[in-house]
Amino acid sequence: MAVVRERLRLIGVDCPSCVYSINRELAKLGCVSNFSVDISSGEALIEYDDSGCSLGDIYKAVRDSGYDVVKEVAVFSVEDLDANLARVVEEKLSRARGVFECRASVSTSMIKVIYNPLTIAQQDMEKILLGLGIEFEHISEEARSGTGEGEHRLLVRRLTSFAIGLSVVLFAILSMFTGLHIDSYVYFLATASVIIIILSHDIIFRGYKSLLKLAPTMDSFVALSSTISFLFGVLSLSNTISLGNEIHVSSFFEASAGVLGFVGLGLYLEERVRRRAWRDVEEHVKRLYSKARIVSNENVVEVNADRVPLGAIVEIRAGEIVPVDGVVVEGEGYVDESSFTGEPMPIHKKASTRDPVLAGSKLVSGYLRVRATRVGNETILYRIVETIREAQFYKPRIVRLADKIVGYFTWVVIGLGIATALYWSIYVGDVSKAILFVAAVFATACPCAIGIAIPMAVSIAVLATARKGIVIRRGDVFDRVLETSVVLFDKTGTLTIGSPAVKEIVFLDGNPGADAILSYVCSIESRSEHPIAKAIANYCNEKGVELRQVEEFEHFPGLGVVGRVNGITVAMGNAELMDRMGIELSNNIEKLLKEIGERGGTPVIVAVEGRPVAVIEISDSLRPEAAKVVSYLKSLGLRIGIASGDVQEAVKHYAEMLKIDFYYYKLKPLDKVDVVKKLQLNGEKVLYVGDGINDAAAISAANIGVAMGSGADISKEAGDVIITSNRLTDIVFLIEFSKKVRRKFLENIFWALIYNTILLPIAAGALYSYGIFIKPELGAVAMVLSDASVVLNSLRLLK
Amino acid sequence: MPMHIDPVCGMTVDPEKTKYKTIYKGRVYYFCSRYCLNEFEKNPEYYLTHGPKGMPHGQS
Repeated sequence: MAVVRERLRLIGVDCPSCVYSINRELAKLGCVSNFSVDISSGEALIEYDDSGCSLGDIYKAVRDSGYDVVKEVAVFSVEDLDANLARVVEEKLSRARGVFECRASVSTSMIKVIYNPLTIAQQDMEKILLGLGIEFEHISEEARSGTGEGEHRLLVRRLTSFAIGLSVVLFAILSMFTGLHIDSYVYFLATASVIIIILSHDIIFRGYKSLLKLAPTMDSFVALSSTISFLFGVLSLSNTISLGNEIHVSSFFEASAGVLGFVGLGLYLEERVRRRAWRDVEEHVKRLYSKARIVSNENVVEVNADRVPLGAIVEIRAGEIVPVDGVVVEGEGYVDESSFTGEPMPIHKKASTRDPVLAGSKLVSGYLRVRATRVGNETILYRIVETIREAQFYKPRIVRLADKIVGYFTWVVIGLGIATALYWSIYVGDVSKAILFVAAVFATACPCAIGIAIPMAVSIAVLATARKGIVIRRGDVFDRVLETSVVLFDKTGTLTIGSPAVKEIVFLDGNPGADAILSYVCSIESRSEHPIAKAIANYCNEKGVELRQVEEFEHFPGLGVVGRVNGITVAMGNAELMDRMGIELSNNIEKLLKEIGERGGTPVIVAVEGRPVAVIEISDSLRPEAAKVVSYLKSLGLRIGIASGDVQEAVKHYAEMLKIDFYYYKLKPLDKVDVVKKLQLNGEKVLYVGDGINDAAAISAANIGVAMGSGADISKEAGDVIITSNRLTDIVFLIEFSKKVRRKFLENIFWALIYNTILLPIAAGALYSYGIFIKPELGAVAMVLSDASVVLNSLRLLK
Repeated sequence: MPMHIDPVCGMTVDPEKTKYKTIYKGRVYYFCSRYCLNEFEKNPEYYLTHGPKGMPHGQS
């Protein structure tokens, strides 16, 4: 047990109650002995027992309490990061002082470290990586998924070693069948081996380095297998020459060259698959850094897309990619948004309705001028690319388990190697067999299928869903979705279309007059972003109501709005807002509210100067696919609920229509969180589907949070899953696809384990008395084939 | 807008900056944090009659 003192800088802490709520979360960890904060600077000093929790846990606790910690992110690109090395790196770096989180991705060969800049510097992390024998490159945001010149050379090197390795093995087979044997043939094999060793020096070097650090990896096996057989070949060759015997040591050189050659092929194939999987993301990234033409006073200036000032007017011609998120202010045209929605049909966008457009979509025909509302890192496209990149770093639980198994497995293999060597050299007394079998054990051992194919399957699955318009923010979503027991839907915008409209306005008395009331209502609602406010604002536009100056405006989520126009206080919202305002509602009004609710509508009460003067009936319609989605979820045995801010009657109306198991009504955003937590306390795993505006908190609290949106208005913070296509049926797709992904995991693990279980004893010479054994180079071939088959199996997810 | 007092902890709150607010008996109250807002909503009368209680330190 060691007490660690760590200095942190907190974000958002400006009052004692913030400290209190952080303290409460920290206390749950049970390992923090002291926590003090200087509120004015946000500087915090924390003392904790590092045997009880990690800095990462503390970081998470601070974030769980709603605050954040000043942190920096470093990304390193590593050549050929395999699963085992990734595990070692994660372990070492996560334990380093000042590191909140370290994640290594095999599919992108990148290491991402989130750290506390007050404690550790990037150079310190570089030292740790160098100490592990890892060559890396520190990379910037722009270059994060680019493929460099160096990678190309590496591919050529791998392919060359394979070509030489293959020719050596073929040559050996040929000479075996023809009985052809000449002395110079051995020299050819020896030279070929040396060339391949030089070409694969990086694998050998890395393998031994990690072995010396007592953290053996797959590379260690390859290095051991190839160098043991090569060195024994050299030893036998020099022995034979000095004794003047007939030269007969070829199989050792074949083994060495064959193993490295076939491993080279495996790495080449893997790299190709990785590149194929990343091509989509690279295309998105290119779009991020395109050019934009800004129009000012009819002059057109070309700048980089991320340099467009907010509010600037950008010109887009037919065939061009939209460089910023914004709204159309001039012109019209058909825009292809398929990268966001999966919908192949271009959508008509025009200035008169101020249609939103997204960076990365393509103007197929027409001409647009767009006012930029989000540029560079703020665009939805950037979020999606970032999300896909992030997903590589998350591992489903099954992968964590597999990582552990691989960790133990490496030691088992080393033990088996030593046992094989001892048995064949001492017990049987045949050193050359001992060497060949040890080399075979190491060459056959690589459980790459577990280590590589699953993270690969996750990345491929993330890409496949992104193409359909479903952005997965964490790789373990596929796993967790299948554990769901309760699905909770928000109503407005999720089960309903989400474009509510004013159906009727009932004026309760003639004073101060319908026109005046409308004018107040329209002026105030024009300030709000709420969907109901938008419905009212649309109505006002249609009626041509004149807007007045709003002096004060307050929005109370889940209740309504209160404002002042011409010195008059106007409140609009639900019955609870009226109650809080101290405004009494007559029986007639109560009856009217009930009737509207029973029709599935939402009533909005308008009060002027403390008196109810009108009730606005807002109605929305059910999504046509809602019933189908609900009945599918029920067929899976899940319980379905609605959590809505609307009145009881309206929620009940929809719940009955859709045969929903239970419903909650009149919920404010934080009440929705309580509902989620209450269900969780009862042991339920909650999948929450909301439209990402009022539901952000509940989406974050749920086991799986799904944010739905039509692209332009997606909340960027919340949600493990973001459905940009705005199709409710994508929930069905997500669940079905997750089943497929899980099946792939299980298939891959089964094949990898079966293969190792069967081949390793044979490689160790268990069946030699029956004439059955595995040559090291054939062990390497089998390994590559098994690897390739699981990777290809994973790739089928893209179909 | 003038500054307001958080009715739970007694801190001065800038109504333009805080996102934590509620309405009770026709009056708007502003809070420094979600914690104070939640506390107030549980029992508004208590805080309005007793005044701010400061921070509940040591309850963790």
